[in-house]
Amino acid sequence: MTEAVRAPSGPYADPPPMTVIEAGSTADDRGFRALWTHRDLFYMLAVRDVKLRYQHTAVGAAWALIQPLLIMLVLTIFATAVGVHVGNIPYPLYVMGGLVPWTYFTHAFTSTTNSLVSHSGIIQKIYFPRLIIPLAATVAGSIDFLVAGLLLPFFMVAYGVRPTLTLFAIPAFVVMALAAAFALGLWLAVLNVRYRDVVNALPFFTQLLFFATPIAYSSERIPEPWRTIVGLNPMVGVVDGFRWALLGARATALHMSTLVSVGSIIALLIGGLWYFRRHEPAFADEI
Amino acid sequence: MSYTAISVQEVGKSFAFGYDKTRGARQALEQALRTPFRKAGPDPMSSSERFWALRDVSFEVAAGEIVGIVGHNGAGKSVLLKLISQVTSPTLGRIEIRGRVAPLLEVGTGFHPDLTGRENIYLNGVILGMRREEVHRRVDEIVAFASIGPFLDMPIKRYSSGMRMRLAFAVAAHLDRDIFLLDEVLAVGDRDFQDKCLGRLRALAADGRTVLLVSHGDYHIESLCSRAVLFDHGQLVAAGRPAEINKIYETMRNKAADAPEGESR
Repeated sequence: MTEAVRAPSGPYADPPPMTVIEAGSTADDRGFRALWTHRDLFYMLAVRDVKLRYQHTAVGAAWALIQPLLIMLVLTIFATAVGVHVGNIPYPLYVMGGLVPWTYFTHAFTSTTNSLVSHSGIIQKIYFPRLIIPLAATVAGSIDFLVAGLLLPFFMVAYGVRPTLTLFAIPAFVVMALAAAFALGLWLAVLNVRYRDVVNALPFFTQLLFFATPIAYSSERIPEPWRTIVGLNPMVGVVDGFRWALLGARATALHMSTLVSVGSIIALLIGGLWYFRRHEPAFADEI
Repeated sequence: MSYTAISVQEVGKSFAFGYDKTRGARQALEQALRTPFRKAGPDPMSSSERFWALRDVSFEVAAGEIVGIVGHNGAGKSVLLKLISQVTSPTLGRIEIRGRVAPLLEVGTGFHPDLTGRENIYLNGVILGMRREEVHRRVDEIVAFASIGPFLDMPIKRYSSGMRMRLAFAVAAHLDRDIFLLDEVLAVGDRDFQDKCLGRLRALAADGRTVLLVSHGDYHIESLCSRAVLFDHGQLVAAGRPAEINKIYETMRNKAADAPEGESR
């Protein structure tokens, strides 16, 4: 089928290196190093997400404040009615300490889950390491963490609760929340490519997770061995840990379950990356 | 000195019919529910039933060539470009490529309507594989080529479709790559801009870069390409000079138009 072609007059002295594409072969830069070479894409996608997040809303970034505030209000009324005990920290502040990481988590987790499907256009047309997409979604969501986090100093001053040295541990639990949203979102993002059932299941799943996470109540009230076992829910460790860092041991002492959550996140993350890599070559065909 | 930029060797690509995986899961469930009542027959949509979008395709393209790819809708032209740009992988065969391939471009892949022209140049450039500083270096050139100057800082949802298209082509045509793949982008836009695009493609080829151009437009194939290949139902049926290929394609189309009844039976 090949026929004689005219000799083009190109400036190349040496032909550039050869790439071979075969059945089952994947682009040669699909490794983790490819993430680094495509770091500008990660940056641009994350910046775009942050820019567009509140663009068509009337109150803008205030959404990140309104949500936790209203949930806190409702929970406080509920807790007063049924008599929830959370130790010697005022209940609204206690709840807020859990809601700030939680609000970030639900948003980042949801947008990570939807990220692949919502970028189907470029996935079908252009090759790049697909992991960039969920990664950018997870990180862009952390703007909510920053905005909602602004509430905390006001609450602490208003209730006269002084921070302790544990405050320095906050970044560790912020990272943990990001990792939890990314790890869980990764699994569901891949599933979402094949089964759009995920979109329907997602709100239900996050709601379940909300009640399974000690936000409105204290995990200290959970009897052993359950208290350790619920640590398998990654958000148990994130919320308890964040609250401990923010309010000190008065609010909640660090517990074995936080360690269980760390292990759970690491397992979900490694499994999720493996699952993602396994299905990555087929995204363009299946999405 | 010239070299073979693209070598396609006995390449085949097949897809499963329907949403194979979803169907698989749902069918398993359905079957489990039905089993007590009905015996499961052979599954007409099983994954062994495959559609061959490309079958035994071989050809070579030398660096600096502009090659036209002609064929009816669904003949496998776009699938071929997707294989070369590594968006998806072949089922059979082998493709050898020398040089970096610019992504397959269509009008405004990755454009976001709420971002301004400038923001979209950066976003799109980076999506297409440029570094940010690379886009930064070329942004003036891109804006000049697209001639959208006064609208640069306006969200592109207010652009006309022609402006959006010009911007998309301008970004893509300023990539620093060895191989360019174009999927009928030239079909849009006014004649002036089309001529500008053709000029740009000729300049790229003169620079030793390779262009694969999928097109229905006879005018572009004949005026631009050094060679053309014709696809029909996933197979490469002819290769040669653009004028000849266009003639063969014309005959093929007329034949199909003359015998619609015979085809439907």
